[in-house]
Amino acid sequence: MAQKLRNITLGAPGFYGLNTELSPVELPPQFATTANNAVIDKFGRLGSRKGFDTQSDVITGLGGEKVKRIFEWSSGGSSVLFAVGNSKIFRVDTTTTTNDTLTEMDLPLGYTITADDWDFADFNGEAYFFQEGHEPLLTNTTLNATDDLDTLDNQSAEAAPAAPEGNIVIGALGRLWTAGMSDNKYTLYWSDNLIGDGWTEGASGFLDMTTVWPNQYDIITGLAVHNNRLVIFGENSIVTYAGADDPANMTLEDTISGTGCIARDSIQHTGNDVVFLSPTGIRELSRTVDQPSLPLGEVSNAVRTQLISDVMGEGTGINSVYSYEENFYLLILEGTEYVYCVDFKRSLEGGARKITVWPGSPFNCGVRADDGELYVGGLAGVGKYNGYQDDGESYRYQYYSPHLTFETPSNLKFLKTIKPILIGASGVATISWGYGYSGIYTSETIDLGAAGGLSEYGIAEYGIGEYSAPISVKDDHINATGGGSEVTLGVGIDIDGNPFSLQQMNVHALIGRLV
Amino acid sequence: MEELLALLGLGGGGLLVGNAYNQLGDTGDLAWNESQRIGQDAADLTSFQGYGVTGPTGSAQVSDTGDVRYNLSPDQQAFQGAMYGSSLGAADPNAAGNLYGTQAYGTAQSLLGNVAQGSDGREQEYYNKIRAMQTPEEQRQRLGLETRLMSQGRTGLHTAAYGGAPEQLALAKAQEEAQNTAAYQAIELARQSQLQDAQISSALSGAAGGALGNQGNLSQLYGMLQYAPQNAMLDAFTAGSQAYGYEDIARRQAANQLAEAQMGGLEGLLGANLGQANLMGQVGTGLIGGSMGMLSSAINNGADTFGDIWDNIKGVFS
Repeated sequence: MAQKLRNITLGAPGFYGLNTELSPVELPPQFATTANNAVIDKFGRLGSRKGFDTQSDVITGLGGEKVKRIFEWSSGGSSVLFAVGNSKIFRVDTTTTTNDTLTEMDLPLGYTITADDWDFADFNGEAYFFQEGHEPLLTNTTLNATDDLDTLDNQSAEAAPAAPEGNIVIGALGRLWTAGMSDNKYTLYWSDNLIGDGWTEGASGFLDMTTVWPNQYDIITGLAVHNNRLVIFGENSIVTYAGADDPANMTLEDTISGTGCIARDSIQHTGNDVVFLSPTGIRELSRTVDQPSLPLGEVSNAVRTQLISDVMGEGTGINSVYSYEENFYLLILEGTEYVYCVDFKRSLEGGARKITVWPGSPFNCGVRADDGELYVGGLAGVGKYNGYQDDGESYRYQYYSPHLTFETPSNLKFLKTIKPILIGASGVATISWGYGYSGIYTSETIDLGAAGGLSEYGIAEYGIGEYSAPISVKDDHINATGGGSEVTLGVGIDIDGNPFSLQQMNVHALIGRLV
Repeated sequence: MEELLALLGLGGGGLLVGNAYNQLGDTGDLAWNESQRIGQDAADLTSFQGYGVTGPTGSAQVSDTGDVRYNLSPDQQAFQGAMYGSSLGAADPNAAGNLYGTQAYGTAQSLLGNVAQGSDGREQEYYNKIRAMQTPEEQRQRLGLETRLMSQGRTGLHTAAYGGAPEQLALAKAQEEAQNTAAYQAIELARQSQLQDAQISSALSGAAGGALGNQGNLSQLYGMLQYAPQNAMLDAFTAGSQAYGYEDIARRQAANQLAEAQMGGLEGLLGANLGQANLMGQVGTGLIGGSMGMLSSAINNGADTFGDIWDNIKGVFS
């Protein structure tokens, strides 16, 4: 006897983000098993990420290499972008359009750069560059007036200046802090009060951490300041100091063993917390302090195994950036060009965050500027996280659902119709479905027609006289075939200039006999 | 006849005068001889006579010639003999006394050497001792600070301003001050000790010099034993001599009184003899005077020469 068609609606499919940890059968339909080049948009939908909006046209100094780090130096109400790559430090200048030229900065006489693993601090009106095995550099001139850099020792007024050649630097609590010297990765150094080139006199000093690590020998891998506390990351430990505005009298406040930070540039402030990459995934400091041994405290719990594997396979470098405006944290694996995008708008139950991934990403590094703009660096030089093309090229958005059982895991399902509601984008959307665990999918396409934009609150304002771009909503259906006990649905679309969000998927299925 | 009587009177007077003269001479001889005897008796009676004193530790005998002989009692002699033997033993270079002296001398030399060497070594020694007393507490303070710094995660702290942590600087300063105080105390104590050594060395040198001689040894030994029988005997002799002095005075006074009595008797005898002699002399002188008067009358009566007188006398007898 014919069974009644059953309508199954997946509202905002995948809006929990990617989950590669749970068994596919147990996975709620809100998760996605694939969420490529996607973000959780401001409406909580799984939408497409923005693109690499190239700003710099003159990038000959890069010599075909990527921008490895990008920094912003703010002073006196204006700011300058610095980019590093090809063993050079560039100032991102304006020639004909904003930030269109990478101007190589002059180095002190005889100074040679051999790597691009610079760390940067904007401290007390000057820009400081620290890298292991290199004398620290600083800009000593008026903002936007010159491109000269000088060494700290040359600039220092001390009798015998000797700035540590650390690989980590932060400017906080009235001084510079550095660590990670090539021959000493366990000592934290700090400069004189408000004197970034004073490291041997005044209130400068250092702290040998070998007697502080809670469990074992460790090395300093990162520094941060949070809630007026100095946070010292080791590979397997984290210690926090209170009263670090007076380093001679600062006191150990907390120690966390068993986890640490494995990538200096993974550390980002989110406003009310500090995010970092630990050996077991991405973590937030406050929850790590509260529950250091609970895996649920890991931000990246949903993709833990895959993330660890990807991180361990990354041989070039790890970067990150946090954007208040986008409400996400990007963990960038430079070598594999893979980005984990962690949504910080809302967390999942248990504290995990919604995660999407951006494979083949052009984003090699990034910095959130003081004006809220998210600048990114890559092979194309310096760009903005803006628009929906990567340096003029499209990129592919992909979503795959978990293995859906429609709450009848023992019955066969025969999909009859798939009717997605696709918002925005243009071109052709590929709708895929498959049965079981074979990974074989059947696809149909939906023509999205002309370019359409997403309506975003706050862009069009009443009385200004502008309307937002027309909203392209596509709710065409496709006829599906085949049957199986588990169903997987997918949406793929090339993002080429227009945003996209997956609003909903309605499935008409016939529930069959027991398997 | 008258002339014969004159002559007889003259002769008798002459005899009487001669007898008085002789008796005076005899009286003088008697006075001389008796005075010599009395003097001799007095001398004999007042001459020094030996005496003896006997005390608890022995006796002392003073001879007539003033020689004094001390004699310890047999017990004390035996004890003295033993002590003497000990003192002879003390004269042995290996004997205790000499060893004591040698050791004292050596110690004195050593102390003098120390004094001569200056006070640096002993300052260091006192400093080390004071520091040894201070160190445990400093150690506890240091450990306490280390523990606190450890708990505060500041063990490896190094600051340009303080070297380490400010508390470490404070503790180090306190300990440095304690060390400075110890150094000053050590200097002061070393000086006092040096002075004391010099004094002890001087004393020991004297003691060693005495101890190294036999008398010194014996004296030292006696002194050490607080044994002085001779002194006790001398004390007894002094007391006995004083008593003997009283007796001697009494004896001498008795001799004086005896001599004075004898001299009184002698003077009486001499006075009687003198009276007799004077009487005899006066009688003789009277006879002579009367005779001479008769002679003078005879002469006046006719005999103008001595021959005539003589012829008259002869005429009497013829």
